[in-house]
Amino acid sequence: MSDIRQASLEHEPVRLPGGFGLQAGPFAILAIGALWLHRHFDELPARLPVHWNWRGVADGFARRTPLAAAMPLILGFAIASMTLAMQFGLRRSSPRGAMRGPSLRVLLGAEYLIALLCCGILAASATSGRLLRPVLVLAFAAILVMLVATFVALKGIPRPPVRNPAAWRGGLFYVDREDPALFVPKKYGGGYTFNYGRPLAWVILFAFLIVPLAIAIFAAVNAR
Amino acid sequence: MGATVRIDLEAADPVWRQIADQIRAALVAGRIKAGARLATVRELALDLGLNHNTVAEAYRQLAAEGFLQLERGVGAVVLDREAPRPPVAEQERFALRLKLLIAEARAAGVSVALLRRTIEDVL
Repeated sequence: MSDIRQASLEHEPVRLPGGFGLQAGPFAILAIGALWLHRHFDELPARLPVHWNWRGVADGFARRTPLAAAMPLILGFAIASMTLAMQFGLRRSSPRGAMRGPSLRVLLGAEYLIALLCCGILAASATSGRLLRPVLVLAFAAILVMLVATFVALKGIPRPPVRNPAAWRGGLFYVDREDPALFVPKKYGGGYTFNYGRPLAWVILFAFLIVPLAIAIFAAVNAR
Repeated sequence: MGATVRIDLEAADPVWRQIADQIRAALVAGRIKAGARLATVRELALDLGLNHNTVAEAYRQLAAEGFLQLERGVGAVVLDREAPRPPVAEQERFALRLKLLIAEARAAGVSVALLRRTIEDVL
């Protein structure tokens, strides 16, 4: 079986969408949240609600400490940083194609969503849950907008030919140690997946699973 | 520019040579002009799913032949290369290789029209 591959000889520099201004936005939102928290820390309730049941009644609390209060922002910063790292990874270590630009924009949109959600959680917690309902409504609306925007951004993009057909495991997992790409287009379209033949893919995957979990556990332990 | 490179990993020719041959063909046919920046080694390696060294080897070969200038941080820039004037014996050697290749293609059933089109495309 022949393995034919094709590429353009044109040089196509890729920049992160929006430039520095838009890329800094999510972090600026989180920084504004941090500034607000710093100024109003003494006005926060002594027991900060950190969990609500399905009726919207707080059923988990943490003592008011700088760490507990800032936890949504810390979590937001960690996730936004990792999403930014994904953008860099996609820009530097994925094959060129029509899907890369829209995918980078979707990731940037996700960073804004994360930053706003985390500020919303901070607001709900700081007001003892009074803002929970509007925050939930806005969060669901933002997630819906994000899903529609993602669909629109990726719709109509021609699916690239399947990359190295022999490297796919179960049609979902791409494993090719010889392939320098860290991200490759999914076999059936709709974005990118890791090249699991690259050790860095496992490091990133591990970080995405472990870092938010570790922060949450650390916060829970310290809140007691 | 619009030129592409197409490789077959199962072909007998080494991949770096396939890349070098196709870029050379595009250069001599004028499909890529002097001063143009080619895809970087990294871009091409990522697109083709090849080791960087394989692409770098092809670029080094073309740089040695005077087609490209390789600069760190800039990439591969196409040079305005003057065609050398090989001695008659060398020209005859190329002509013979071409004749044999055409004969092989004809024997394999490749049409004259396609061969003519291909030669005109390269020229």
